[in-house]
Amino acid sequence: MNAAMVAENFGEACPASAPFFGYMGAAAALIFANLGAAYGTAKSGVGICSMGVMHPGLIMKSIIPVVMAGVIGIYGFIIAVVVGTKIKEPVGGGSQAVTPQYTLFSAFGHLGSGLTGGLSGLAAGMAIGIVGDAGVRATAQQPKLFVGMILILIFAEALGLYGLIVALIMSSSGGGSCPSA
Amino acid sequence: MSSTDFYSYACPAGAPFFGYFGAASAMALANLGAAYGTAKAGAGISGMGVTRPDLVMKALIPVVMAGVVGIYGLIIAVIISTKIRAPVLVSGSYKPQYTIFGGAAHMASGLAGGFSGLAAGIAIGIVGDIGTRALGQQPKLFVGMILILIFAEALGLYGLIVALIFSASPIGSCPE
Repeated sequence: MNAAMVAENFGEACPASAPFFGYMGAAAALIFANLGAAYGTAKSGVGICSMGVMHPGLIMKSIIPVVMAGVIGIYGFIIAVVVGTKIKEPVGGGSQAVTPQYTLFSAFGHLGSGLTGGLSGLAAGMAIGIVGDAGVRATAQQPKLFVGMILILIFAEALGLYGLIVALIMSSSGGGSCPSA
Repeated sequence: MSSTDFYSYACPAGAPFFGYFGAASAMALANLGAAYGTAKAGAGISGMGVTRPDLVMKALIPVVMAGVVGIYGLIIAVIISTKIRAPVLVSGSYKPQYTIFGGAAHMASGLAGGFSGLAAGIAIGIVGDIGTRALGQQPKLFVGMILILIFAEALGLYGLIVALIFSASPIGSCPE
């Protein structure tokens, strides 16, 4: 804009601000999935600790909701790494012309991908937490409830998996390449 | 505004704002999570310690794990802030050294690590509080409580790993 002598090939298709949207998508995937996983871990952990006072033998079986909540965090981690490694920096600089490598189309795709996976993980984690809390407390009083609780937790986990699948599909849609001078 | 500075679309003067925002948010948010974890678990330990003072040392583990979450934020903040280069003054004009791509990457790195630390700290606090209180009544709960706390700590670790991956991505160089 001022005294820079080399050309810059930013344009409408590949503005300099495109990486913001892509990286915000990647960060959002991890942030929201981790918030959901933390809610699931905390809420079901409260149920396990409360139940474990009177039924210490059931503690190890009851850790399953906590493990499933942790898997939600891994879903967010996967999306964040997959999206984040697709964001390429501009080439050039110094005495060479600066040419971007990252289209705005790809950036919006990655933003949508991250929000999808992250918020789905948040939803799944909250469901796992509430079901895990009530489920482990009830299983302590009625052991026949164990299989039913696991079935419900699997359905809740599937929501996070849907988010992961859609996020991976959205992040792999090609965005084309940037025009160079 | 000097018209001889070498700022450009690739390297605007505002780029370090985003980078430092990422570094600051990593530290601040992770510390908020660690503080919540320390406080909530500490309240539980204090409540339990009245009737079972012999279990207090074992029950300090949630507080240590919450502190580790704060260290994760420290690591991310230091690594990001050492990658943000100041413009150099060359015969009266400023040549920027930090790209806007770097600003975006480092802001995402800091936010991802910071919010993950916040989530992990809150989970450690809630589980530590109820866990230590229940531990006072049933010592067999110790292994179960530690297992749940490890899963909560892992969330902060995911944030640290992703933050290090983002902050290590190449950010390009500035045109001259």
